[in-house]
Amino acid sequence: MPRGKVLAFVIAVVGVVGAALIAYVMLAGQQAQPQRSAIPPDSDLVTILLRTTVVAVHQANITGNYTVLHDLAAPAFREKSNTADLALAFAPLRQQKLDLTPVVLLEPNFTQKPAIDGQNTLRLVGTLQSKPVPVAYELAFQTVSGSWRWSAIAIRSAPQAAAPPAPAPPPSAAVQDRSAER
Amino acid sequence: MRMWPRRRGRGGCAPAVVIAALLSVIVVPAGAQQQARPAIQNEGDKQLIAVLLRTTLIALHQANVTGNYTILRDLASPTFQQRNTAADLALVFAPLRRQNIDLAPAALLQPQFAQAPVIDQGNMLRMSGTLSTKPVGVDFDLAFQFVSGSWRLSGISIARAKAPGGR
Repeated sequence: MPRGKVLAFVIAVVGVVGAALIAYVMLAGQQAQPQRSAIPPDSDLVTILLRTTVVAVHQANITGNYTVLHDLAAPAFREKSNTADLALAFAPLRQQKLDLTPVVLLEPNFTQKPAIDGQNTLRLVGTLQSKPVPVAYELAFQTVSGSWRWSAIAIRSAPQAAAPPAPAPPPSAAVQDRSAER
Repeated sequence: MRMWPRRRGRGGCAPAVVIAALLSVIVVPAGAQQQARPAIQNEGDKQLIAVLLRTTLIALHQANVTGNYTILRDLASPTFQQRNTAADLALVFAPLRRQNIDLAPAALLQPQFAQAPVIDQGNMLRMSGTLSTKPVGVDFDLAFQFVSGSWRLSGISIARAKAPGGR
C-alpha cells in the first residue's frame, strides 16, 4: 500500500460534557475538508447506508460484540484496527445506553447534503431526533468491490439538536453563511 | 425454500419438522394459554413492530454479507442461543447467502403483512409477510420472546416470495 495512503486509526472518545458524548472512530486521512463533487448519491442508497450502519453500531453496543461492525468496514480500516479498538471507542456511547433503533423509522435529517468527495468518499452528516436524546452522526463510506463500506463513524448525543432544524443548505451555501457572519 | 434456525443435531429437516424445531425454542410460560391477541394496539406498537422487523432483517443481511452470525445470535433469546450456535445459523442461511438476496432495502421498504402481527398463546410476538426486495421479493416469518424488558428474536424464516415478483 502506498505510504501516502496509509491510514491511521484514531479513537477520540471525549468524556461526558454535560449530557454530550462523542464516540468517534475515523480514519485520520479523511479528516481534511473534503472536496465535494457535484454528483449526488442515490437517495435510497444513502438512507439504506445510514440506517444499516447506525443499526450495526447499536447492535454492537447492546451485545458488546463488535465483530460484525468490524467486518462491515473498509479493508483499510480493518487492517488498522480490531474489534477491541471499536469496543473501546464506543464504550461511552454504550454506557449511555442510547437507543439508536429509531433511525429505521425516522427520515434522515442531513445537516450537510450527502456528497461524494474528490477521494470517492461518501459522507453523511446529520442528526437523528431520537428520544429522549437526539444524536448527531457523521459517517464516511468508500467503495470496495462495488459496494460501499464504512470507513469512519462518529455518533454523539446532541441535546442541542432537539429543536426542529432548518433545512440543510448545500455545503457551499453554508460556507457563504459563515463568511457573512464574520 | 424456507430456512429456520435448527436445533443442534438436526439437519435437512422437512418444513413441518423445521417448524417444530422453531416451536421448540419457544418458551411458553405456565398459565399463559390465553387467546392470541393483536400486537398492534396503538401507534407505539406499530413503530415497535417496524423497528423489530427492520433491525432483525438488517442483522440477518449483515450476517449474510460478512459470514459472521454472532451478532444475530447474540440478539436472540437465551433459549434460541442455547440451541443454535453461530455456525448453525451460518449453515441454515447458506442458501439465502448463495442466492445473493439483498435484504438491505428492508431498512426502507414497507412490509406487507400476511396477517396482522399477534401475541400468541405463548406470549410470543409473531409477524409474517412479504418484502418487495429486488430482483425477488422475500417472505418473512419472525417470532420474538419478551426477555428482561425487550423483545428478543426466537424464530426466523426468510424465503423467496411465493407470489410472482415478490408483490
